Amino acid sequence: MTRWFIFGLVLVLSACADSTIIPLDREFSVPTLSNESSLDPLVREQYRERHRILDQVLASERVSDADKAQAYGQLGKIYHAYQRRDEARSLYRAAHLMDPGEARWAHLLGAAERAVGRLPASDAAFAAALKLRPGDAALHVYLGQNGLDQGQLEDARGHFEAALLTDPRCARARLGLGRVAMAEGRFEAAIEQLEMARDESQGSEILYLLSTAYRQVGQGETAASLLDLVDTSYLRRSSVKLRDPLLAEIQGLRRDANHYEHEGLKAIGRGDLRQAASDLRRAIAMNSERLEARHNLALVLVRLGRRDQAIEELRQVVKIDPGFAPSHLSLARFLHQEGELEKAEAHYRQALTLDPDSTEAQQGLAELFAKAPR
Amino acid sequence: MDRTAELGLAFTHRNGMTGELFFSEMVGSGIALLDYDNDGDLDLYVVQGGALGSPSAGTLATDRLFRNDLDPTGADRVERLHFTDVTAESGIVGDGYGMGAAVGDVNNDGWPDLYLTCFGGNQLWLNQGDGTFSNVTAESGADDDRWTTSATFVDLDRDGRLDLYLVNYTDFSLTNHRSCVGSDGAPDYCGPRTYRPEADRLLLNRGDAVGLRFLDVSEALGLNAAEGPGLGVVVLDVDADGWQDVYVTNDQEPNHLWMSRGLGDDGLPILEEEGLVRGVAVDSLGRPQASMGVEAGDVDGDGDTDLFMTHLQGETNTLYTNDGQGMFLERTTRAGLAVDSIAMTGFGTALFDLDNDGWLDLAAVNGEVRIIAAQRAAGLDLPLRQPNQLFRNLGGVFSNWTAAAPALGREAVSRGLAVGDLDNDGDSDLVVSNNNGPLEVLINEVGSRAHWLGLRLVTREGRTALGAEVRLYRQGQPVLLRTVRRSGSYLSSSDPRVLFGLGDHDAIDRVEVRWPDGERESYTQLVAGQYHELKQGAQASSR
Repeated sequence: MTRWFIFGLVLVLSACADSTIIPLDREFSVPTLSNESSLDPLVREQYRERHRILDQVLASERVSDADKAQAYGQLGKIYHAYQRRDEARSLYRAAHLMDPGEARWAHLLGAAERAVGRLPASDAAFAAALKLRPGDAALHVYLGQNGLDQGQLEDARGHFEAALLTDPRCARARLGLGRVAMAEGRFEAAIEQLEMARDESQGSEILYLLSTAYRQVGQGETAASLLDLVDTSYLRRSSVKLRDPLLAEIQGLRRDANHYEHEGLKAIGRGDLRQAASDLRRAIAMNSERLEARHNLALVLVRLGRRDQAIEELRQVVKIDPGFAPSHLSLARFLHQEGELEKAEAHYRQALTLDPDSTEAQQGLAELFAKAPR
Repeated sequence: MDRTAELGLAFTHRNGMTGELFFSEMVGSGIALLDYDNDGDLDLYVVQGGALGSPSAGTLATDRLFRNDLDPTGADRVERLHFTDVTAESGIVGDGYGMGAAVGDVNNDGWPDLYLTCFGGNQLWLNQGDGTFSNVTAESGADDDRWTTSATFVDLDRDGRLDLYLVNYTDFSLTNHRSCVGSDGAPDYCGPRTYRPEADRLLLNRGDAVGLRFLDVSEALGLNAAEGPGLGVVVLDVDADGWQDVYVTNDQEPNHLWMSRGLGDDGLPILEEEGLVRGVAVDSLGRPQASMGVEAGDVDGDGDTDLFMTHLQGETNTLYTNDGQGMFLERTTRAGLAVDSIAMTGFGTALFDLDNDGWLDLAAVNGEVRIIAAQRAAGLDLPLRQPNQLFRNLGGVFSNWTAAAPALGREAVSRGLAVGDLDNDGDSDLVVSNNNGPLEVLINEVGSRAHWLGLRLVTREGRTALGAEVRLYRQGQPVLLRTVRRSGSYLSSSDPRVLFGLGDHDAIDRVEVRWPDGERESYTQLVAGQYHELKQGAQASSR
């Protein structure tokens, strides 16, 4: 089956601007949790609990709008935490309309709208929150970023400057001013702002943008030296932080790799190795790049007598990141014990190359040569 | 309305999914537009997926070659444009788990050959000039059993023979398949970082009268030291030095820009990876993005070649504009391309002049790589569907015109996109491949309302002049730059003919060509509203 179309353009475009918070329509309904059986059990329980509370609140006759808003909003946060942003948006919107005097629902609605690229709607929500919390630096920064992304440079500048009035050391606001200047082609001004931002943070965004700005004004050597400092790794790069307790709380709700790794470490601490292995495996399944989790899982597996699996796990670590010294060392030690001397030597040497001060690697090599002189 | 029967293009992609969520099944496959029978119209090669996992996954259909039987005298579009499935007659057996297709005349006999990339062994099919192809993969040394996604032909050493650049993805195989979950713990597709990235490969064409022979110079040229999960590739001359450069998009790693620096003492091309220093490896804040498809073109009309690429949901697509010296600045927001891409995961993309007004418009085809919970709940077999998008270039700034082209805005899991003038009416049509879905052909009814000029450029040897740059000069109008290019987009190969949109002005002063070997020629008295063949060293002829 093939589809083919003639695509003449319709010259009348539908209006797509969405600059106001859309009221709830009559058909608004609470999202249904659709894929319960496939969810992680802890995640499923989080959803269920919040759905249960909301159901109770809605069923009750003597509940204030603020309480209803609380129930909607808290459920929205769970959906938000697991990146189901459409559900989160509708729940936050419900919460905001139920309790328009509570800034956090508008704040979270703004964040959820931004995450799906609905920037005018995000602007409206953040602006509503800002009216309730005048001078909030994080809200000004978000509005400034929205302005930048929509090419509204004057608005963006105003918000970044307002954020700095509240928090003069806000590196994200300073970075924003640098971005505005870059967008305007005022590279000297950008350098000035970005150098001030750099005083507060060594985030890669600042360093890279600064490098670009220096390149544009002909200072190639400075640009190159800054470029050397930029961390371009996808997951582990440093970035400029913005203090936003509300969004931090959303992050904290996630029962994700971080959570399971933490639980795994706690299980190791109390000696429950089977639970530790289970939690660490869960963390790795959620994020295969959790090198520390993989490394710790290997150590747990050895203690559980599963040496082959441990060695395989360590091999995975050094395959993903050949520069991860602890796993080279552990791998060397286990291979040494298994009598695979050449492979052990290679990993001892690699560990020593990565960490020349490693006494364990030095000792390991010494023992290896003592037992198997050449 | 479904008019499949009239068009003669019956094709549905099958990704072989079994419920295991194999990484390779959501990558999709591409399309190639080529005039395999040299009759002046574009034929269509469509890459098929295949079975994954157990034999019970079933035997699936193979790639298809469709011959364009365009009849210019036809009374209406259906009479004019018709395709015939000639796969069996052609001898091509594209039965690997297909990814992409590249087109190029590897033996300079004037007939376009076909290179097929696969999740598994690749294939080189030599066009015999009689409607058939022969598989010369093994004897030519063009095979690669790693997971190749995109590929392109490019004459990197300017010896008049097309070399082959292969973009490899990761070391995923069915035997090292891992089960991954989404942030909520539900099963989901893994990302590229679950597996080890692969290095790309460069095969230099060292064929001679005795036979076709490719020489792997990846190690010697430093490619093996630059691993990256590559998905897209486009060839362009970044710094206008006459040597073709290669830009590769990597998924969640910095992109690579291989600058050609001429030839070394050993006769091999010198390649230097300069993506980061030239400003095209990461976004304006230094962040690597999940880059998929890529396109090159003069987006802002300033006479040099810019780069555009598609990205993962949550990131914007990215436009890098060239300063004329081969240094780039990210201008996504300024060009109006940031906001509308945040919610999309883009793959195939094309810069083409939709309405022939002289400005390159933009299409991006989309489809998620992580399961969309609501679609899964609705029971969709591949819950990754998103609408495609169309952006009109209003003079260096783009406006979202998807709503004006409803056929593009339908939700699918789109991956490949190729552009070409299928009906030879002077505007660019689109062909979209959908993962586990039907092929889509979108016929442009807008461009031919404006004036246009079509050019087919061939070298002295009669080969399509890949890399030739063409500038069109008109009184009181900006100079237009177009390049003879098949590469770009995602897993696909497009029409190498050059189309100039002239808007309301049909008068042309001259056309200047910089041929791939650096020679320059000027042409006057070209008439708008038709295709001309420009052969290096000869007068133009109508075609």
